[in-house]
Amino acid sequence: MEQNRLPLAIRESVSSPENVIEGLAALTTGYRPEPERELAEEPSYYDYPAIKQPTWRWEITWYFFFGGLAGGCYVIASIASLFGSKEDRAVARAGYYLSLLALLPCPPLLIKDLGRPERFLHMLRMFKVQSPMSMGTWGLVSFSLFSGLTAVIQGARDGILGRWWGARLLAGLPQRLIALPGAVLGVFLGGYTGVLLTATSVPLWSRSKVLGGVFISSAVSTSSALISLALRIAGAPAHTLHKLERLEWTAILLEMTGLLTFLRGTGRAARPLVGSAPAEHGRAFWSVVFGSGLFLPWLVQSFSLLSGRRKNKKNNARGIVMSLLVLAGGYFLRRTMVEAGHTSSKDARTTLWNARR
Amino acid sequence: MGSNMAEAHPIAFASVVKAKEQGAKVMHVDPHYSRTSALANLYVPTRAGGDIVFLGAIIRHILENNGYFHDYVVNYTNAATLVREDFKDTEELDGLFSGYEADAETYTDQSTWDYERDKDGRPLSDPTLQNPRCVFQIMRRHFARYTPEMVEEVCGVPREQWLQVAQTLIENSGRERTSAICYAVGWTQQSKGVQIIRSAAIIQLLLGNIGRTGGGIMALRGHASIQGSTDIPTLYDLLSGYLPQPSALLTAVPHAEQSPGATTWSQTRDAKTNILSQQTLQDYINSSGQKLGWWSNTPAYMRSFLHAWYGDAANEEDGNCSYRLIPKITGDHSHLVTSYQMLDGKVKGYLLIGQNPAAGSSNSRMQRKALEQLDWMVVRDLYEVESAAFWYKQPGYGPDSSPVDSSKIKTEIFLMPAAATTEKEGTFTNTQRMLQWRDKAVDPPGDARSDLWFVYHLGKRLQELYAGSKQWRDQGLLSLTWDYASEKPEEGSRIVDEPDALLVLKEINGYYVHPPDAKEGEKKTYTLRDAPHVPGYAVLKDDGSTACGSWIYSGVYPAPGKNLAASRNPEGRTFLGWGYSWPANRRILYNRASADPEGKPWSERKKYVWWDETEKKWTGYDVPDFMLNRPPSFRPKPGAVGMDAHSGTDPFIMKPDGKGWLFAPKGLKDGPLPTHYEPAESPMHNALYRQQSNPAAKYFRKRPDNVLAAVGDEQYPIVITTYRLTEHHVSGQMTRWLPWLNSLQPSLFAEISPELAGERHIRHGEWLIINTPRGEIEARAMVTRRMRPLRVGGRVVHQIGLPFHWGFQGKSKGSITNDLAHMVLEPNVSIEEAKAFTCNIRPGRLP
Amino acid sequence: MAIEQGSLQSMIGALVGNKTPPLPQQTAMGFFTDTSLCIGCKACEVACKQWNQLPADEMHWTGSSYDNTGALSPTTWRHVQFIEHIGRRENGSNGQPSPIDARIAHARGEGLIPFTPPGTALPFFNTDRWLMHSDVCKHCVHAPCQEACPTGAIIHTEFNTVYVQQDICNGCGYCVVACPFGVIARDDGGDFTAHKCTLCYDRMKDGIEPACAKACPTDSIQFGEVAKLKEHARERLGFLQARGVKEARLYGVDDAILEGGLNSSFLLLDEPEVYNLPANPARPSNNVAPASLWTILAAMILGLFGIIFFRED
Repeated sequence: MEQNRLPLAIRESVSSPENVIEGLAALTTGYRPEPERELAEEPSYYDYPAIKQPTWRWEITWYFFFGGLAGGCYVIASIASLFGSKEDRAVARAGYYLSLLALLPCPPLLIKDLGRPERFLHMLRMFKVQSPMSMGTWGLVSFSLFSGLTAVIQGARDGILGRWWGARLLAGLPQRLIALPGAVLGVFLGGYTGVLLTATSVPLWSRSKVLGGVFISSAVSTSSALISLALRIAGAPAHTLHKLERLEWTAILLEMTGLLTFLRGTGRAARPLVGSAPAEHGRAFWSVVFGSGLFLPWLVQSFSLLSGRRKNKKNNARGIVMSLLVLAGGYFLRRTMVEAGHTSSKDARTTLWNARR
Repeated sequence: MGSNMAEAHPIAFASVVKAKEQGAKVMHVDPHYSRTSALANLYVPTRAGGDIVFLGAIIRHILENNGYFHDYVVNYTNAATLVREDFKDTEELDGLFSGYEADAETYTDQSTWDYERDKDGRPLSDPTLQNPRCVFQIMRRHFARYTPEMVEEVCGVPREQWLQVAQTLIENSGRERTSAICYAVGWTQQSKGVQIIRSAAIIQLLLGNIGRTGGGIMALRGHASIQGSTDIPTLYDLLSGYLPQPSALLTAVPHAEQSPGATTWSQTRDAKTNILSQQTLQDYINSSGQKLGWWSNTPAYMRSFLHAWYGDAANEEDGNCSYRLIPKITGDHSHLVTSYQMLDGKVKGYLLIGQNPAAGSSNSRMQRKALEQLDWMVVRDLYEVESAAFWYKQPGYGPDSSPVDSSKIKTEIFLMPAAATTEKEGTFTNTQRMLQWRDKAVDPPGDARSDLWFVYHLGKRLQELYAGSKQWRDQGLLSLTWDYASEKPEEGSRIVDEPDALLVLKEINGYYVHPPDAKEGEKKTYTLRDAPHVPGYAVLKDDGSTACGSWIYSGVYPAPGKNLAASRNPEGRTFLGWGYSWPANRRILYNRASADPEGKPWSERKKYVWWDETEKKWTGYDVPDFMLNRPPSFRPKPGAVGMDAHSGTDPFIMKPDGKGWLFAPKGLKDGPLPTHYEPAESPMHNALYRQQSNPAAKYFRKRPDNVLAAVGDEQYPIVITTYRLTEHHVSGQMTRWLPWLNSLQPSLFAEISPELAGERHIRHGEWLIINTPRGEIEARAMVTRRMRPLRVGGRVVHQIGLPFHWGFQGKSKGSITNDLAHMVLEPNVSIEEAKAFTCNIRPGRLP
Repeated sequence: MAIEQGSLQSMIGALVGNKTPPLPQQTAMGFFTDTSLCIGCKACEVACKQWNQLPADEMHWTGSSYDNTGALSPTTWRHVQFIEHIGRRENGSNGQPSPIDARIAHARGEGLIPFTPPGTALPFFNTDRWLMHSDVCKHCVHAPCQEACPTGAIIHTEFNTVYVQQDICNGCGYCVVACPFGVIARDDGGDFTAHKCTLCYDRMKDGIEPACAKACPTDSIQFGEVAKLKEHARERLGFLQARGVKEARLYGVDDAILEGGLNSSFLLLDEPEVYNLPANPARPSNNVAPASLWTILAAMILGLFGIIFFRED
């Protein structure tokens, strides 16, 4: 079967963008829709959705994106600070600041997303391991402490807070020690959102279990891109940028592997993400997320990494464009994932298929 | 058959579901697959209007295959009775019985339908059932052409399916088993409705299913207390308790009643006009009462009734004075005929209580036109229903789409808010003849008042208005006993002038006018308030010493503080402690028939009422419907009258001969035996007789507002039937104002088969237009396999079905299905034919 | 959005205390909805709306048979489905004439239809079917909505029913995506919190059965102790199968669904999917561990490479 489909997929691909998308979708998910057979053989109740649509909209998309950046930047900054050279301090500095900056919009976004924003504190009534939402809240709250503290220490050390005794005291705090638990929480914040989506009944999100891995990879790739971007603008040593680039390259590779695993594992239920039908998000996914957000930067980076260890040569313009592409891809990954989740929840036959284990 | 019980009577249908769980077989024969069909063991789709062929073939099958319950039929029915020699059956007259007068369009002479009698007037019989003139043999000949082939031809039912129904009925009837037949307006709303029910009665008598537990024919009534409204009627031709309304004009008199063996006492008639006289109470009793059987009590019931209405006035001239006060009918004053009169400007005022002719009555467009001819109209309802709003609003489609010119409508309309059922107290009498008292829960809102309040105060004010009048025509109103005021207002209610419903119930139950044990001379006269209650109708007298509003209800309130309609004891085999079933709290009528002629139960399993040899009386699980101490061996003396004329083996005590009538020698206007006629509008010619449709029905063919499609008219090839949905009630006058119900069924739809939809290019969910010669409406297309085309008369006939719940008022609006229906009336009860007529459809919407 | 009156106190109260001790555990109560008895009258829908004072749904004619409700919603906690299977099994199964038809045909072939042809036993349901099913919250023993709820608004009551405490719920929407049956939903046209069937908790506390069960004329909806209902459900299945209703099956009576069964179980007359019910839905909370493992694995790979890259010098 697979062999039969492959040439067909390729043949069809050349004629139109829809066919390209359909070909990619069939190739990656291993599923080709058979509407007539499904209509005839798979019962459903007048195609009314079998589960409810998520209530989540753009707030959640942005939160996922910023949360990933906040966690990812913190982790990268901590690694740089703990293991890097003196030159790499720039990474730590930029990372900690950016982490806090990315974190700032998160609570308002989350609170706005609630049906009853004035009851946001109710989130803290429970500590529920079963519920990623509960854990996420606690994770976010704890991470905020560390991110804030670390950034303040950084600020104090950088002299932003002035020279009074309080600032000196803060600067003296063991930032690297604090960064250890902070980085763990950063990983949590960058990855739990994937787990949160996985622990639902929406077929697209829950069928494969690797979404958390994809999200944490994306958190690291987008964070690397963001830090690179900042450092390129601020002017940082090429050597440090090179380290970041390698990390980014690895993260993108892992992310792409994860996404392909996700698509294959999700199979039919991944259609809303990769298909070409009007309610499906294949166009944005294949172009912005996978194409220009992952594959293109990865190719460019591979090329630059392979073309010799010209550590001192900077190509700022190209780097900045690549960073922006990665960031856009990271955002659209979350956006298409959330929106396709809506589409997925409306598809009764796939929902019921997903539950026929 | 003829009933969508699960949808129109879901609570009653619960009992059917329960019976099915216990092994009963449920069969549903209906033009459309409904929620009733979904629960049935067998569903048989049939053509609307072919019922008598379907049932007649079952009768034939029973007769030809010895499927009848022999001992029951010979002893308890008139199968053995001989019919007059000059009786001519439809077999001989090609669809007509003897006595038909073509010009009058009715049977003016029904005398030939009578029994053959001996010189004492007693019917002759042949218990061997061999005499060619006995009812049994007449039936065999009459139903000979109702063959399974004919069922296929006329109903479109494959004979195997029909046979399954017939066999299941036969196998589940007899000594050990019984079957019940339920029907509703699917039968009654046909131009031959009464005869369809007669067919079912014949089947049940032949199978021994009457008067026995689990048997019977159940008339599912249209709404709460519709049974009550025939018991204490809102009908023009009945007083309470099925006493006929006195008539000033009785036509179509059977000559049999002049013969020496007449079943009535005697009668006077106007020599010139040949019309029976009911000018005096004695005339009335002579012509309406019967010499033999339970109706021989008519004098006592009528006299007591007159006393309940007119009090002391009833005592003058042996009741004749009050009898004269009762208005006499001068023709057909039924609702629909009155609409025609209204159109012709002969009706000036109209009082509508809970009725909505502008949307709920047949040929509603004509009804709305009729309402425009009135001077005034009072509408009492919960909301401003279509009938109260027609003067400024119309459906807004088709011919009525232009705005109404209110200035051209002279009708002055008074809308009076009515209380809902939870806002008033009183009784309901439903299908099973059971009176159930319900209490008031809350005060009605605003100016809304109970119907009792309205009628009582209206009467009071009218009496004040006419007080002192010497005009004879006003005396009836002025003489009415009209004192139902409560002694003290209900506690906690803001309504202080609500009449006392229990006092009304007391009058209905009956009371002693004089002390029952009073000695000669010392005659105390009671009023309604202080009189002792009568314990039941057995004590009612024809001498003016008792009063009773409705004899059949007598016993419901036998003593102060003992309102049996309010009793709520759910125990016992027949629940005698729950509510009160008329007559005499009897749950099954004619239950003497549950025992064999010797008085022993037909079977131990179906034991119900039997003769107790040691106690020398009838006993059982129910109140015996028989003379308690009359032994099975009793035989009447020659010339005996009243109940003495019945033997100990005559269970049908209301009938003069004590037998169940397979053949109806009198009482029906369209024949002694059911005969198949096509509906007034039909896609086919009558396959059985030359006579196309019911010869006695009222067609109003000349009226331009009631045009009928011709037989087999290609312009109107589709059979249409109408029905109810569980979610709404009749014309929606109470339900289309409730958002909860409206969202369950928000729109009028027409159910059509995929085949018909394909032919007419109509798509599911889109709109279609349905038209008949009377009007056009639009509805959503519900294309469903629940409707199916039938092979009838050698070709395919399509049927469509529509609910009729919508109108132009309320929170959910839609076309009025009844705009399509015509107004051809059944001859006996003047009911329209809304369940089987013809139409055409096309895709689209009306402008 | 305006902050509701006294919400600060209530928030603090909710956070720090005024906790009443949990009520003593009672016998588990639930529904058993037997679709073989349903007559599709929708009295349950209306009774539910009336008792719980829920607003009417939008007036929308769907054309989905007689179902104009469509689905359960935050303001519709009972929903009657109508599934038309008409003309699918004409003449019995496999296109073969049913036994009775064959026998009658045989009898007719012989030239006589005997008074009692061999057997007129009718099937329990006619060959056409119009399935009706009153859907409701399943009150899962392991309820995904309850497991997902971060605020503790969703609880199992002392009757082991699943209940949303309206004063706690902050409308995060996580229960909505957790529920595999499409039951619980956020009322975005109303108070923006999650709503679903309460199993008439208020009535149950007073020992009265839920409004829908009370209104159901044919006892298609039965309310009672879960253990007894399940026993009855099995008996009922046996009864129907003995009468030839082979397609009858139970849903949620055994512990298979969500690893603990449903306190609101069903008897269905076709595959669950016909009623839009998932045959064997996954329990979302079971995904937390594997998903976390994959995340940690990815994080570890990246961390390792990060350390390698930054330590390089």
